[in-house]
Order: sequence, then structure tokens, then C-alpha cells
Amino acid sequence: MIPLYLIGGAALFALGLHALVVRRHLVLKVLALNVMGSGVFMVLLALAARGGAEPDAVPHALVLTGIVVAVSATAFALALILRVKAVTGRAYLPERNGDDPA
Amino acid sequence: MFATGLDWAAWAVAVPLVGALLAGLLPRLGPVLGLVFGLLTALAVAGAVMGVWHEGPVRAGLGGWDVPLGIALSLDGLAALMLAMTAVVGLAVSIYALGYLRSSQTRGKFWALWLWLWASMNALFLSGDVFNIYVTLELVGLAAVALTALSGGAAALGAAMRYLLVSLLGSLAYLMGVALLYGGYGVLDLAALGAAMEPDKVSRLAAVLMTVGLLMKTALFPLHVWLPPAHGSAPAPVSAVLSALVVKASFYLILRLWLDVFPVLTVPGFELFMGALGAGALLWGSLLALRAARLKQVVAYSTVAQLGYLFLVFPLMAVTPGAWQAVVFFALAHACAKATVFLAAGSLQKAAGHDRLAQLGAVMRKEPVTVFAFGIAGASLVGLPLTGGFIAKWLLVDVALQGHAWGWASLVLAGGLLAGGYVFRVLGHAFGRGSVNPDHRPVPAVMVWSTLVLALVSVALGFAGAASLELLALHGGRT
Amino acid sequence: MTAALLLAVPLLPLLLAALVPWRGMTRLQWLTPLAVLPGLAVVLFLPDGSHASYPWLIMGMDLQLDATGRVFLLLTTLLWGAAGLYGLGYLRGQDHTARYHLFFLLAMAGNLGLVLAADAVGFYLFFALMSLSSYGLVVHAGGDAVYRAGRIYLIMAVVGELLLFAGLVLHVSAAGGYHFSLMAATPLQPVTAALLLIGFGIKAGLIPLHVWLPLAHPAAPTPASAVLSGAMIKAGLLGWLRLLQLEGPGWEALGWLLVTLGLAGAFLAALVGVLQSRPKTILAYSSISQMGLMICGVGLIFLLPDLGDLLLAAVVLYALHHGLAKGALFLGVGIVERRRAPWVLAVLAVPALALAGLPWTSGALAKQSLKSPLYEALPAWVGTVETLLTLAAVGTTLLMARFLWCLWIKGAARPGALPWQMWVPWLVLSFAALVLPWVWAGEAGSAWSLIWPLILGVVLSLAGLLAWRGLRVPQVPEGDVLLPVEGLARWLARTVRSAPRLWQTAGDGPARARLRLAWRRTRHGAARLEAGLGRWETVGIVFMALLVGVFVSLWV
Repeated sequence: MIPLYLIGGAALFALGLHALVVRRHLVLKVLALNVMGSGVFMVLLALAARGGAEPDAVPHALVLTGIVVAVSATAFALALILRVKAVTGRAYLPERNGDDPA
Repeated sequence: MFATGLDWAAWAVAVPLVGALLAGLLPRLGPVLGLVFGLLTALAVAGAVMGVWHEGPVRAGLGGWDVPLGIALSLDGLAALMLAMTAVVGLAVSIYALGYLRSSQTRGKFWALWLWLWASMNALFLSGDVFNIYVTLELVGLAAVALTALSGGAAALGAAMRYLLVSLLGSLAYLMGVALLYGGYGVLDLAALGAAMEPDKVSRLAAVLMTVGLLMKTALFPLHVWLPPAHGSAPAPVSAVLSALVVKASFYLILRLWLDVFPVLTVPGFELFMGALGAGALLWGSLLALRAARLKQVVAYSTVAQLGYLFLVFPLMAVTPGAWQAVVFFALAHACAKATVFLAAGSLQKAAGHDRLAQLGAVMRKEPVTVFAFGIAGASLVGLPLTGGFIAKWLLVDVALQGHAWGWASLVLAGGLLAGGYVFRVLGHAFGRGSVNPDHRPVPAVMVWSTLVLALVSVALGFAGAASLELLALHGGRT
Repeated sequence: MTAALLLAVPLLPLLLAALVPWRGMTRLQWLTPLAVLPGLAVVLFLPDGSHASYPWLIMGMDLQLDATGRVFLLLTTLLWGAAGLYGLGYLRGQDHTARYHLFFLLAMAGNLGLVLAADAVGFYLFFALMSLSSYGLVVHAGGDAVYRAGRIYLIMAVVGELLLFAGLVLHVSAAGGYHFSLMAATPLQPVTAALLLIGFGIKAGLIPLHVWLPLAHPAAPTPASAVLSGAMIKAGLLGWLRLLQLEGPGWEALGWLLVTLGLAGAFLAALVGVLQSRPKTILAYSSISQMGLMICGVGLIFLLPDLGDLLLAAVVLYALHHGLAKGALFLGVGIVERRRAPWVLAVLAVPALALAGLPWTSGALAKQSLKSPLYEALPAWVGTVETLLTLAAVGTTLLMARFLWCLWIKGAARPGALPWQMWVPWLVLSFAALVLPWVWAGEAGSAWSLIWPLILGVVLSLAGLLAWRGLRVPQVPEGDVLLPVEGLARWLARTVRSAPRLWQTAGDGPARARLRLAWRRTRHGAARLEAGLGRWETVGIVFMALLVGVFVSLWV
């Protein structure tokens, strides 16, 4: 059972990474990061069940803290996307690097 | 009871945090709050450094709660030096920002975010367990991104967005590594992990994820592409902090991990690989700095190049175990010099209204003190004598030669020559003859003088090499 | 007390340098010549072997006064003091005096500090400080020719620094510490010796590394030329004396190299110098020629280790004599530029004759003390070297005659007031050049071997004067071998640049345009690659690649 969770977590992480790279819309990128985060949390939870005895409490605390961090990061990212959309009119990353043509 | 170094260190986190909250609530008072809390933070850091100096490295759980439930703080020479570096650069940047940020809109936000960033960095340097490091890393990242976006233009927002995505990706990779480590060893504390570390598959995977995640945040070539736009488009005080301190924070973590947690995993191939990446960064960053047409781009690519030096720590430590001290001293010298250069660039940009190198000559001749500061800091970047950069390069070459690593030694020297190229490329404009620019806007004195003072810190570092190395020798992670 | 005084020697000029550039601090420039006072006090009052450690400074610094250092310190303080005072008068009413004094004081601090430094880091720091801040002195006047001289100077200085740095670090890591006493105890590796030889050789005007010298010395303002030629090139010599491990069994190959190069420099520089027409250029070549004699002396120490002590003392004495005399001559050039009077030329003739070795002058003493140990030496070749040393005096006499002649016919280029700040240090230095080496060392030996080359030189000069009146003197450009080298570099760059295009275009566009084109291509290539790296997809791929790369590398 536990390996399934571990593999699932790793798969989520990989899927999220793939979407983060491939998807162009910024909201989708942020969602992809959240999927990656969920993958990490899943791995942590799977590890909490080590040994089959009483579950370890520390990973739970870590996941809770991680969720708080993820929520605030997501909120901040969404606010930033709104600003990008307001200024540039599109919710995409600018293709050029911002570098001056030399 | 006397306050110990650790008490002071805890204050160094708490004080800017309170300042950030107050500055957020009372944006009108931002400058005053920023200055007062900046000074108090610097004071607390001074106490912490003195504590380490006299009592040696210490570690304790916050509020009496020890690991694994509490938050462990650990303070040793390396952490103290990082705190001091942040305090010196931070204080100069705070004073500079008084003159630089004139529009009330950005001003209100800047101080809250900057004090927040300062508190997070201090917390990061003091963290003693891998999960806390994740939290502080995320705090540093978010505050840095917000500061990048501060000027609100399309370029700044685009750069900030890119920076945010990169930063979150890096943090998540790091967190995955933390999860694997906890799965393998059941502890999070750095020292405990280091003691228990076995060179098995899970540890290696964790090390890879954490290291590459942090590499992303450190902007090591070829993952550096987010850095020049972000550092180039941010307001000058922010660029200075990002280039001098924030990238060093993630490098500090890499160093901390490989010094205290993963040393059993190191193999020659890995050391060579990291050294090669560093060499690539050095050459590529220098080439692009020689190419860039705008002053702040030159400085930003110079950061990319100089970050390469930091990663020479891996091959150098393979031949001389004490090499990391030389590299940390280099980081210190680079922080002071790079912050000065960015501040000076900001002053010149403000005076000219743009930062296109080709048209900057006339303004440079009208701002002799700023150019002088730029020159001193540039000399430190090149590694010319009587600056901190020289001592740093001397130490690097010395440890390389002690281990008969000729290639790395000549790379350090070649990097100095390349740095000379782009520094003199900028300074050359100050000596040329050209028309007088009628658009010259005077720069507030507080900006000019804070830049100069920070430049003189670079010179002072050139005289204080022995003291810094002594502080670094007080390393307590391995206990 | 000793520690404070020793530290004050380099520190006082540094402090003054920190104050001088500020607006409203112009009056402090008057203190510049006084900044040498701690150095003078050290020469006069501290005993040999005084030393002090400053473990808190830089990486732990040691300052020390030994017998050699005392002579060099005397020379350095006198020259810098005199030139500092002279500069006050020379630059009166000119622009940018603050900048001049800043660089002057920085270079002064470096030069004074390196004489006292007893560890490699300190020595290198002060040496580099002196070399690099002198650039500001060389280019002070501005103008295309001066900038060219400055560029060549900077290139040579930086290359020298780099070699020196490499050599010192190598030796330090071999010795396991950077105190000179520790470094002297470790045998010098050939590579290290070569690096030090070239690094210091550039400063000391060792041919063929001397090319910067005839360009930089005339380009600099006159007081700066005096210290460049009198004091700073001696720093290279001092570096050899300190680091090449003179004591011991000797090192034949190195000795022969130095003797050969030194004698070649002494003769070739005299030959080229006689063909010059600018007084300061002639003096610069004379410096190369004289340094050649000193370098030959250093080489002899390696070849005749038994006579090492005597020869070392002789070389040091020669350095003192030449530094003072050359300083007086350079300062005199500035005097003649303002006032062309017979008495000026008469005073100028004193150090000039001393350089040529007129009996009962310091020059005679210096030459004699260099040659007299050779009379007793056994090997047959020593006689040849001794004869060559004597013959070199003919060249010196010719150079001096040519110098005085050119100076006289050139006349007062910039007639103007002659403030006391200019003529007092000049007279003092001329007098010191004549007398001081005597005070230092005792008496001279037989006079004949000194007189005949002098007479021969004078006769040759007069004959040349009569014979060449109508003739054109062949012109050798300043910097002699530099020009072919420069030309070669340009040709090489052109060839390399055009090589890939030879099959494309037969036409030959201007070289500069091609260079620009090549550089633009590199830039565009770099920009394209950077833009490619900056694409978000690439970031993801590189991230993955690094994950894999680090993972694999951890297994290897």
C-alpha cells in the first residue's frame, strides 16, 4: 500500500513538473506547481506510516506547514498574475528575456 | 542574566519582523521605521557575532522546545558571518533607499517587504533543521519576488513572475529532498542527519533534489537566465540586495548541506561536475557582461559570473578541506562589492534617466564620488590589491595551489582578468571626452555617501582578512 | 614605538591620499612631501633588524628594516620627498592637481611599504599598489601619445602583477607560509624563479621587457618621471634581492642569464638612447642601461657566491647612487624647460658626470665597489665582464653628453616662474647624489679605470658633435623593439581574423571594421544562445538535465 502512495507522489511531482514546463498560461503553471506540492505531501504522508505501528506525527506537522506555505505562495502568485494581466493584457510569460537588444 | 549569542540572534530575527509588521501597518512611517529597525537589527547581529566570537558555536531550541517539535536555532561562525554580511549590506541599502525611493506608493511597500526579507534571511542563516530551512527559503523567495515586482512595469512584472516560478520550483524540489531524508532517517536536524548519513540511494536522490533546487535559486549557469532580467529591472536598492544577499542565501544552504549533512556522499565526479558548472558560469557570465549594452545588465551578468567562483568550493574542497572558508570570504567580499556597484549604478541611472552605457560618460564625469565608489568596488570584483576581493582571490589561489589544482588556480586568475575587462569597460566611459549632458539630475547626497561607505567596507575587508577567517574557524555544525 | 613608526611609513601617505581628493582639502597637498618623514625617521633612528608584526592587519603583516632595506628606504624617502615638493611648484596653476596628488601618494605608500615588507602578501600588495597607481601618474597629462604610453604601461604592469602573483603564490605554497624568512628556507623552483624573474624584470627594465619604460617616463609629469625612474624601477631590483635567494651555493644558469641580459641592456640601451632626441627619453634609456649594470651585478652574485656579500653591497650602493642622480637629472629637465641658464646646466652636469663615473663622485664609488671584488676573482671570464663594465661607462658618458646637448638646444619650452619648491629639491638631490653614497660606504680605489672611459666618452661626444653636425642622426622610435612587437600583434590579429574569410572575399577591408564585425558576431551568437537558454521550456529541460547530471555524477 505504502509504495503505491510513494509512487503516486512521485508521479504527481513529475506530472506537475511537466505541466509547469509545457503549459503556457500562468494560472496553469501555478496549478502545476500546486500539483507538484501535492506530490511532495503525498510522499511525506506515505512516509508517516513507517513500520506499520502508530503513524509518525512529525510528517503531518510538516505537511500542514507546507500547505500553509503553498497557500500563501499560490495567493501571491495569483495576485502577481492579475498584475501581469492588467499591465500586459495577457496572462502569459513574456517570451523575450527582458534583455535589451545589444 | 547576560544575553547569550543565541538570544541576540533570535532578536536579529524578531526585530526586523516587528519592523516589517509596523511598516506594513503604517506605510507613511516606512522610512523612519526602516531606519530604526534596521539599526536595531544590526545591533542584534553585532551581539550575536560577539557571542560566537567569545563563546563559540551554540545551538538551542526556540522557547525551550527542542527538536523534533520545536524550532532549532544554531549559530556558528559561518552563520554569524552571513548575519554580519547581511547587516552591513542591509544597513547601507536602507540608508540608500531613503534617498532613492521618493514616490510614496512604492515607498510604503518597500520598507515592509525589505524588513520582511531581512528577517527571513536572518532566520534562514540560523535555521538548524532542513524543514525550517524550507520555510525560511520560501519566505525569502516570496519577499524577493515581491520586491522585484515593486516598480510595477511590464518588464519588472514579467521578470518577477519568472523569478517566482523558478523559485517555487526550486523550493519544491528541495522539499521533496527533505521528505526523502525524513523517510530515510526520521530526523530533520542538520547535525543529526549528518551523523546518521549513509551513502545509499535515497540519500543520493535527496541530495540531488535539494542541491539542484537550490542551484536554481542560486542562479548557477545554465539556470541563471531568470537573474539578469530580475536584477536588472528591480529598483537599485532591491537589485543590490538580490545580487549581494539573496543568491548567497541559497548558496549558503548548499554549502551548509554539503559541509554538515552530505559530506559522506561526495565523490570526485560530483565535485568535478559542480566545478565545471562554476567554470561555465564564470566564462559565460563574463562574456555576456562584456556584451551587455546597459549598465545594470553588465552588473547583473557580473553576478552570474562571480557566482561561478562560489561553486569552485566543491573541487577545491576535494584537494584542500579548508577551502570552503576561502569561498565564504569570497562571498563576503563579493556581497559588499556587488551591492556597492548596484547602488552606484542606481545613482548613475537616476542622474542620467537611463542606464545605456554608451551615453553615460558625461553623467559619470559629473558624479565623481559615485564613480569613485564604483571604481573601488570594481577593483574588489577584479581582485586588485587592498580590497576584500584581492584577499579572497589570494585565498582561493592559495588553497588551489596547496592541492596542486593548477587548472582551478588559473581559472580564478582568468576570471579576474575577465572581470577587469567589464569593469574597465564601464569605467572607461568616465575618462573619455564627450559632450556635457544637459539632462543631468543631481543625486541625493544620502545615496552618494551610503554608496561610498559601502565601497570603503570593501577596502576594510581587504585589511580584515585574518579576523573573518578566525570567525569562520568557529564551525559548529559537525558536533 | 617601533611598531607604530614602521607602520606609519606606508600609512601616513595612505591617510593623506584618503584626504587629498576631497573638495576643500586642496591645502593638504602641501603635506605631500612631508609624508616621507616617518620613513626618514626610520632610516635615521631605528637599528638594523627592527621589526614589527601586525597579525590583525590584512592576513597578518610583518614590517622589517634590514641593511639592504635601509639603503632602499633612504633612496625612496629622499626621492619621493624631493619629487613631492617639486610637484607642488611644477603643477602650480594646473588642473586636476588633486588627482595627481592622490595617485602620487598612493604610489608613494606602495613604494615605501614594499621596502619594509617582510612577507609575501604585504610585499605584493604594496608592489601592486605602487604599479597600478603609477598609471594615474603616467597618463596625467592626457593626449593620444600619453594614452598610448599609459596603455603599454598598464598592459606590462598587469602582466607583471599576474606573473608575480603566480610566482609568489607558488613559492608560498611550497614554503608553507608567507614570511620571507620562511620562504628563503625553501629552495626556489625553476618555474617560480622564472615567474619572479619576469615579473620583477618588467619593473626593473630588464631587456627585452623594458619597452614600457622609454614611453612612460617621458609621458609622465617631470616629478613623476623622477620617482618612476629613480625609485620605482629599483623596486624590481629589490624584489630580486629579496626573493631570488642570493645566499647559498649560487645558481649558474640564472647568473649567466642575468649577466648576459644585464650587459646587453647596458650597451643596447646606450646605443638606442644616443639616437634619441627628447631629453627625458634619453634619460629613460640611460636608466635601462644603468639597470643593466645592476642586473649584471645581481647575476655575478649567483656566479661568484664567495663574493656575494661584497657584490650585494655594491649593487645596493649602485642603486642608491643611480636613483639619486637620475632623480636629480629628471628634476633638472623641468628646470631647464622654465629657465635656460648656464648655471642650471652646470649644476645638471654634476649628476650627469657622476653617472658617467667621474672620479671622486658617487658614481666612481659605485662603479668601483662593483668592480673591485672582480679583481680578486679567479675565473678568467671575470676579467672580460670587468672590461665590459668599464666599457659601459663610455656609453653612459655619450648618453649624458647627448642628454645635455639635446636639453640645451631644445631650450626653455615653457618659460615661466621658477618657484623655490622646484629648485630647492633639485639642488638637494643633486648634492645628495654626489655626496650621500660616500657617507654610506667609505672610499674609492684606483681612479684610472674610471677616468679613461670618461675621457673616451667625452672625446667621442665632441667628435660626434663635429662629425654629425650636418648629418641626420638615424631615428630609432621610442620604445624600440615595442614597435615591431606591436606591428606583429596587429598583423597576427589581422591574419587570424581574416583567415576564415580568405576564401570568401578577396577584397581587403579595413582591419578595424573586421574586428568590429567579428565581435558583433560573437555578441549575436552569445545573445542567441542566451535567449535560447532563457526560454521557459529550456529552463525545464536544463533543470531535468541537471537533476540527472548531478545524480549520475554522484555515482561516478
